[in-house]
Amino acid sequence: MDKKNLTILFLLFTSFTYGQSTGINTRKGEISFGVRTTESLFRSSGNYFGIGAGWQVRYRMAEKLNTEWFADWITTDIGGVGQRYDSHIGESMIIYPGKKMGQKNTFTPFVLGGFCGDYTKIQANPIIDEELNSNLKKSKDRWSFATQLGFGTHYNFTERFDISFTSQYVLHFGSDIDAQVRTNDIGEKYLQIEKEKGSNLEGHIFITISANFVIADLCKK
Amino acid sequence: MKKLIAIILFFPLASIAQDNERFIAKGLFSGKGTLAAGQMTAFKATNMYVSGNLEYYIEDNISFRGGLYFFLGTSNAALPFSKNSTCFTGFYYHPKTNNRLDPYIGFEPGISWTQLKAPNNGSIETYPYNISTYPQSINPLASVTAGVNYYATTFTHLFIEAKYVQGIHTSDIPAVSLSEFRIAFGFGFNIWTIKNHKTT
Repeated sequence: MDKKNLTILFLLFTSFTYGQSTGINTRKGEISFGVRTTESLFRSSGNYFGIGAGWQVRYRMAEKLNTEWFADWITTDIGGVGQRYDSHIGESMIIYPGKKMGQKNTFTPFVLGGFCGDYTKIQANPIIDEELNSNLKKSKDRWSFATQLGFGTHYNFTERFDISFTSQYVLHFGSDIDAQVRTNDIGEKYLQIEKEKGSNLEGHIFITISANFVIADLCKK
Repeated sequence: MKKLIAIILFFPLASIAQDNERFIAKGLFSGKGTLAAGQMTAFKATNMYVSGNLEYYIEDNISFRGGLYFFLGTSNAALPFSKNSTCFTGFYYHPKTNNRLDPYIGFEPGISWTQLKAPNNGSIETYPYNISTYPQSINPLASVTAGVNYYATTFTHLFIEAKYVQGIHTSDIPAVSLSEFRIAFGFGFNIWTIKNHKTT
């Protein structure tokens, strides 16, 4: 299946899951604040894991429908020859297919999907250019938009506090930065960065662990 | 000698855990200030810090904490840091006890402010270290913490905790792992922000 078909399938699936019945609104209106750690695996720059940190706010629209507004910042070492910096800011809709909602010491599984804006900068470590007799230091950056889909679960330590584990696939739409680890004539590895004209798709796996606390309930009875 | 130190550290906690009512509850505000040591996992190096944090119990068994580790120096390091200060914010879970002991586990993302120490003049460095400017860098971190407080009096407590930190220092040379185990112990202060707090 090519990337375009995969994208259409993601978008349709997300729309389908939004259309579920929302049930009794006992937890509707809750606002929670959370901190998060992310691990990201970009395939296009090689299979290198990035580590990130961020924050998030959730607003629960209905008993089985939550929203998550997040900001992340991730750094990745590319094989010791460069670095990748990614910043995400976005929103996900969380759907709870199960019956048990947030009871103490229970898991609450969910599926989620949404979109985000992304800033990426890829920077190569300096290399010696013998012709110019100087050190070259290259970097390229870009802005892009992305859509994401995944699944996860909350573990509810209390009715107001949970730890959440999420795994998502994020598909970026934007200009293409191609970063490849190369070896020069004298055997030194370096990062070749090229920014292509036009748009491209780039996907990555995004694993998040977050801790969240309900700070307000707008629909408190 | 190590066993003796361990006994000295833990004996007071065990011997005074005699009460049958939990001390901590929602509304407790506490702070800690101490020295901390960190053993890096990727290479042989021991870091030293002045650390401090402030913590508020937002529920009887949940607290929110913000803390700083100010870097003092590295010893035994192949790649010594000149800067390696970190700050964290996150949530802590405190399992229920029936006394003044307060064990806890926490999850705290954070950021680091790091810089490697440039080699001394005249030392021979290979590529790419010989063309690096050794810049300062700010990077995200992940961490988990486990420890125990003993609330000795209404206003003071003792604590001991261990923290695992994961992250990388990025600059213009291959990334350097910032992963390390940290240990800290000492005493802190605590006050009640809610007058008629209810212990559980």
